[in-house]
Amino acid sequence: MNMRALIFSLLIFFTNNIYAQTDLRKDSIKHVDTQKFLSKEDDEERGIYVHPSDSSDYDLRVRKYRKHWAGLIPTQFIVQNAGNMGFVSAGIGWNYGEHNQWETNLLFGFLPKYRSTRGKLTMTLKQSYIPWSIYLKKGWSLEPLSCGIYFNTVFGDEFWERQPERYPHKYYEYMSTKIRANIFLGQRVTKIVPFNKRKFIKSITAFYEISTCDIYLRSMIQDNYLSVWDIIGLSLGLKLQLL
Amino acid sequence: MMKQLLTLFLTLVLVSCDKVFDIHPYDVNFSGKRNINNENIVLIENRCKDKETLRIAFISDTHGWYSDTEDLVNAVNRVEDLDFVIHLGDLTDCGTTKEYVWTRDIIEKLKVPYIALIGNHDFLGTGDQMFKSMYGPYDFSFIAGRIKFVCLNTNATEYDYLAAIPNFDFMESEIHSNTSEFDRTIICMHAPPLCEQFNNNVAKVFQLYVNHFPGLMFCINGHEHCKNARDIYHDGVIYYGVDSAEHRSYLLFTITPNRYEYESVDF
Repeated sequence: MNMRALIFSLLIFFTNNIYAQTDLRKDSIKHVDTQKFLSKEDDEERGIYVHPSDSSDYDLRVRKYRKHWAGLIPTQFIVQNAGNMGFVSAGIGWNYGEHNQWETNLLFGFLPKYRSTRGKLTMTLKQSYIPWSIYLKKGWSLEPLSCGIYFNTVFGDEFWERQPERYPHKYYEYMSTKIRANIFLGQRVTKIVPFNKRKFIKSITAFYEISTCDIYLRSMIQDNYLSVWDIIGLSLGLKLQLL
Repeated sequence: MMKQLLTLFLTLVLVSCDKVFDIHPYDVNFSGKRNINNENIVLIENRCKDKETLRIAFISDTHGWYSDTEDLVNAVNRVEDLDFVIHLGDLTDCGTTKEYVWTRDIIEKLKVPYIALIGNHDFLGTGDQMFKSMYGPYDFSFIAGRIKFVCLNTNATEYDYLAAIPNFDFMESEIHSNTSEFDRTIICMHAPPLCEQFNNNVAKVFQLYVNHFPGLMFCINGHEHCKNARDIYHDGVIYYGVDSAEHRSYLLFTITPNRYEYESVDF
């Protein structure tokens, strides 16, 4: 995976997104100005996506285009500790699917110095699957299972994606010190913020995850000296649902 | 009361941190024994001070073979009159902090003091920093029973040949320092000369320096996962190769004032 390309495309993607939103507002005002029959109150009532019925093909197309990009606005903010991603990681995410059963997160983490030579930054791309959500009562719900994978990269020239050229062919075969694949299983509990108390947050989810990474898994499979308890770690986190 | 309970809770969370939470495979965040080589060298030097006969077990390349390493430790513990153990490098497979800890916790079960050299696998990621914290410097020496053991870092490829590996300045100072305290020398290293990990540009210079050590007995290396005894430079200096833990053998040396014997022990 080329991390630079990934960051770059994400950057372009978010800038576009912001532009799309600002343009949207300007455009709707302009649109109203040219059509004098609409009052100021009407404009406010109509909001961004409402349009006069006599809109042209161009307007329809623009609206579709904006709607498409608007789907890429992050819908959540998450923060979690450990999980082989650093001391603490935070980032944005999207939920989608018929029952919002899929979630994708992009996290940046901080790995403190400890006994090494310096602190480091990490980046994680995480894909979760949450098959069930059970509504309890009074705005509480339980998600009995969340599972998924995440890829973590750590920044710093101590680490490489593939063995550098100084090594003979296939010297450290299948090995990358920079990118780790992790798997996790967890559970969550969600509190939905009542409509009359909502400001920015729709719901708050607290979760825990049990995870391990490819190196540890391989070590355990290779040698039965290690048990599952040696290779797994706990991670605690919070998710703030914004949209 | 609440404050105290909270403090207690936070302390417990922080104490259990590196057991319960995995920060990162290369976090160099661990508890337990550190600076093992320096501590054990003191033990070894005291233990062997006036000894005439030394028995030393050379083990190597334990990598991720934890069960085999456990058997190796048990086998070495059965040897009578053993003085100490030297691990010739590649303690770990990927240099992660956990691997270092897992391996340490097995090797710590040795009944005699041991020291470890750094192998090329131990460099991966932050592995080199981990080795420094857990064991100590990469080049070091000690004197046991009037024999100087010179332990060298020969993993030049890991530095892309940019560092002074092998460190000739260190070798030179070891040739000339404490000469009144030793009569013979044994040189230990992970990667032997002429292998792909060694800086073979200076292989002949290395031979020159090696031959300057007072009463040089032999050189010993790991890395190649096979047991052998070779006269690499055809100059009479034998390089003993110690097998990996996976192949379940190690070399046991018995050194008397005038000569030495060795046997390959399978377990």
